Amino acid sequence: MKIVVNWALCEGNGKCEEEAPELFELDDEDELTVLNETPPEELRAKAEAAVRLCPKNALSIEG
Amino acid sequence: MNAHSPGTFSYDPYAREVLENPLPFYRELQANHPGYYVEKYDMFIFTRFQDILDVLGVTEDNTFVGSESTLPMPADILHKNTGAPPLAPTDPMGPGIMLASPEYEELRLAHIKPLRPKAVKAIEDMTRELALDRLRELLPQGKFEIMGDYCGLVSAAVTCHLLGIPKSDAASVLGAINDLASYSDDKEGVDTPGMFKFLKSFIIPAIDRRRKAGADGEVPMVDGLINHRLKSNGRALNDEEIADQLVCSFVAATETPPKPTCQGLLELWRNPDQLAEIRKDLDTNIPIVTEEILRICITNQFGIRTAHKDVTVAGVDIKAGQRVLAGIYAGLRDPREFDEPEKFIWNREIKRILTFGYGQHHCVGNNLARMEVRVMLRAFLEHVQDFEFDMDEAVHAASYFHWGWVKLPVVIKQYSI
Repeated sequence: MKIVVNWALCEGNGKCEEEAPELFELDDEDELTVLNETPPEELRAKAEAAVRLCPKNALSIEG
Repeated sequence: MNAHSPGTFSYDPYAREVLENPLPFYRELQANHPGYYVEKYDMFIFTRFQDILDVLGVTEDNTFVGSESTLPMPADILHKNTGAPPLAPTDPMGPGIMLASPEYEELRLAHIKPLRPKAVKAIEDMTRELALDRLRELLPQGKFEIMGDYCGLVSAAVTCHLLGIPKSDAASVLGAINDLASYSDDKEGVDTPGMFKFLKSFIIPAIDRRRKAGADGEVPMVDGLINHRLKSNGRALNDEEIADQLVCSFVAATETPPKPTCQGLLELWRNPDQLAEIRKDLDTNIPIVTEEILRICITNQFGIRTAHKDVTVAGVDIKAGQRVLAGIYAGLRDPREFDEPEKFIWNREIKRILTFGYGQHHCVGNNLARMEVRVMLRAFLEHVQDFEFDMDEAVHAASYFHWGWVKLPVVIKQYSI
């Protein structure tokens, strides 16, 4: 599983961080960092929730 | 033909009886006509929550663009396009909401830093002080119009702060926006192009002031655009082009947050048991009730896009040149997404929300709006122990833009400040 961010769309709303803090973090400038781009399978549900709740539709999962 | 006669149902988002009360039309569209086609505007209407997400979620390849405005006057979409219409110009740069990718995203990212979560948190104390200043003046009067005199002036002052406009201009900014954003029978619409032109008269001097001050980042919404160089050719934007990127936020930030805040207080007044529950712990409960207020007390009706590619979405085949209407107000009342959707339930579970749209045009001000609603609600409920609305003097406006209360006189029965 690989987390893909569409950086043209991401505006740092931080919904992914609320949903899956293990995987996403906004820095002090509200810029997104993906903490683990290839997370283990047990985090799939959380990653999918982050994808679903991103209001910009800027996240996707490959694999 | 109307919403109540099965078999003869017809819907026109701009028809007089829809402007007066769209709710029965939304219920019928949602129940029996997903993807309803309006021949007159060559446009498909989406009112179910998931369909709206699916349509607005198409963000690839400029499939849907706000190229004919996201809120056109009816006269502007009476013609049928033969294929995709022209995209908005990029030299000179067109208004932000009409642009296509990549310029649309590029110019948003160039100026929205102050609207991001931590940046909004940093102006929360200032917003609270503005709210308390208003309440100190208003509460001793015993009765006032809460939409304009309280919330409108707070939101307008925050907007002025963000755009480097003197806060002393807040009242004139608010008055101009409320006049211009209301539905006009003469023009048979809300004249958004006219409104944008007039409002630029506030923004252009602010840009000029920032240029003279060196655009050093102190007013990031303006300075970010002054300092931006277009990725395509490296050129800077002129004042007109910068103002065209800011005017939509200017209107939205000024007139939008007061509406859910005041209509939310109206719901709480009508549901005293729920208000009593909320009052038990304002710190915990205000953020919770804010979400329900943002679900059911907003006034924006819909957004429109034009297809620039053939696409099949939400079960409908759409050809390039045809239009789609995302009925967010209806979607927020979809029983497929929310139990008893018409009921105000302060602590209902809300997993997803359409209030701020979705996808490419998702509201840049969503963090700011949430904060303002919370702060204005909290300040009012903390300092007003008992109040009632004078509904005989309240004003409800017919419109396809903001449909809801525009004037709400409130009587203060007990306060402490």
